[in-house]
Amino acid sequence: MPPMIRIQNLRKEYRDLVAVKNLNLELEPGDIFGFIGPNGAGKTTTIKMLATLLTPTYGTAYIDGVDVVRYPEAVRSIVGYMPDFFGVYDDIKVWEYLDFFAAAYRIPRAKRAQIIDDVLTLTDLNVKKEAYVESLSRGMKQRLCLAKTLVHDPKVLLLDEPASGLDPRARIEIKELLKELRSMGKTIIVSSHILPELADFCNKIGIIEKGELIISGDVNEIIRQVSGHHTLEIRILDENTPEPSQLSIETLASQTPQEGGVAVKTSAEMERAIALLRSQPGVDEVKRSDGKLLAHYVGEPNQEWRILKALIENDIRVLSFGTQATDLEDIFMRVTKGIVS
Amino acid sequence: MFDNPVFIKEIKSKYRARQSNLTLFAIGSLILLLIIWFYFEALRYLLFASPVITGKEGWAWSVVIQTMILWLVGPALASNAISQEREQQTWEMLTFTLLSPREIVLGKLAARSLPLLFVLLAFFPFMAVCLSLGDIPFHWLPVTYLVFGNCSLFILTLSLFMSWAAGKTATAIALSYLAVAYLVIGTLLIESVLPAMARGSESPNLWLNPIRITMALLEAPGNSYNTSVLLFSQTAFLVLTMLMLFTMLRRWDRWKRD
Repeated sequence: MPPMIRIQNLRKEYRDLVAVKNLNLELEPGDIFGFIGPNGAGKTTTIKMLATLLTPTYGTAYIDGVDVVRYPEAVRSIVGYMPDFFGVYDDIKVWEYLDFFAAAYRIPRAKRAQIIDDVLTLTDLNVKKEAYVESLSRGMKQRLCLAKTLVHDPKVLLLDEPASGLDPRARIEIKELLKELRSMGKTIIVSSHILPELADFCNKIGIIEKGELIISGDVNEIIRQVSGHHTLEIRILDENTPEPSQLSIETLASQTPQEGGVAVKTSAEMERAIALLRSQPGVDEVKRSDGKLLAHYVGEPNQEWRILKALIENDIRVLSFGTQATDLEDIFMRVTKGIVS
Repeated sequence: MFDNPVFIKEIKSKYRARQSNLTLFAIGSLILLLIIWFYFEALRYLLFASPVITGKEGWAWSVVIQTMILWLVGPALASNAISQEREQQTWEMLTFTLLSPREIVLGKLAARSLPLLFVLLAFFPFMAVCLSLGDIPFHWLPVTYLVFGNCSLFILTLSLFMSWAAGKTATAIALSYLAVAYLVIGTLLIESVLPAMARGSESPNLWLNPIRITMALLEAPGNSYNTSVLLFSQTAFLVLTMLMLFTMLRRWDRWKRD
């Protein structure tokens, strides 16, 4: 299947400043690509070039096989674009606003009413159909903007910081809406510098810094690639912990030794566990955190079970044993600090 | 034009009153009463004084008033047409649609010209009465309205051009009125230092002056010199209008390289 988005050596220069440096990327139909980077990294410039709103200094991009530089009109008919900062026409009604954009995308008058109803339902703005745009809240205006982005049923959505400046509830609403769009099979590029926002629904990510795409690809692949090592999270039953029959989450939590300035009581069993972990091949560092042991594992992949086996064979009462999850924030911090580059 | 989404959107957003029906009725009635009163007084004067003289006077007054409205109100109508879109951050979304630059420019131009059209239409019956009473050739009515129409198009296009060229509405308004001030005052100042003035004749520079054009309109019937003034000025305005429209449409995407 040909890629839905193919970016080739895309470059944008503003006099001495290189905003985007020879960016290459391919996305398949249905991909949700999280474009991550700090402010000023080049996310918006890249998205604007894809949206035909900026001309690249060099290179080009193809959306559904159409060259964005040579055929901007054809690209606009298959792309929905939502800018990071946008205004709305306050003095018209919600349905009129959508009708204007539907007409601007050459949708025949006869079909517009149904399309408007559909996008209003999708964005949960039906009740505001007859309201003036100025009466909408910020979150509603954001959803309205997304609704107008969808009126021409684009195959590709370019969403630049779609949830910026929203309160937590509106943020969640937008996130749910994006999940809905994902289920509709749209290819989406969504930029954000708030990483948890993207973690839930992106299958691919790209991290851009100073105009350079440092890393991109499948989320899990990147996590594996960037992590290379991970942290084992082990909870053991020390002597201050009640017998298993008396255990509950509350009692476990209450038994957790205090840290951060207050002396931590370490039981003999805990000390033994720490010493044992430090002696294990592949473990280079062990520390305590919130009553758990965190062992930094740099050994062979899929051999972590040997550590669990060693603990049990040495009569350490293991309550839980697992790998600490690596999130996008962790990846971002590592990559942008130059660990990969 | 009625299929142009920009035109429809502009009309809805600019001219739709949001007041209650009662308030709208009250405002509408007030405007209607004012027009009726104006017509009543003007017609009473025209019909009961010496008709030939007052017909000419009425004609002259209405030409002067309409000219003043065109040149003073015109720049304010269109000089925010594009800059406001940029200021309220709707420009990008507008240009991202499949609308052509031609549709956007013409849609805005047509919508912004409606108030001037309303003024010209409101004066039309009065002008027609004056024409029938005064010693004015009949063909001068369409000629006068052609000049008004051409001047309106020029002023609106000039303001729209400034709105496109300037980043901010305030700058666009200032530039539009500066251009009008140049035509009204600047051409006179330039004329005073030109050698043509010393010879006691006028240079084509002065023929672009709105006051001179109005004088030509009032004196023109049967006067070939004034007819030349009108022909020159209107051709110049038309050429300038076309040039500005052409520049805007040709260089529409200039901001893409920013």
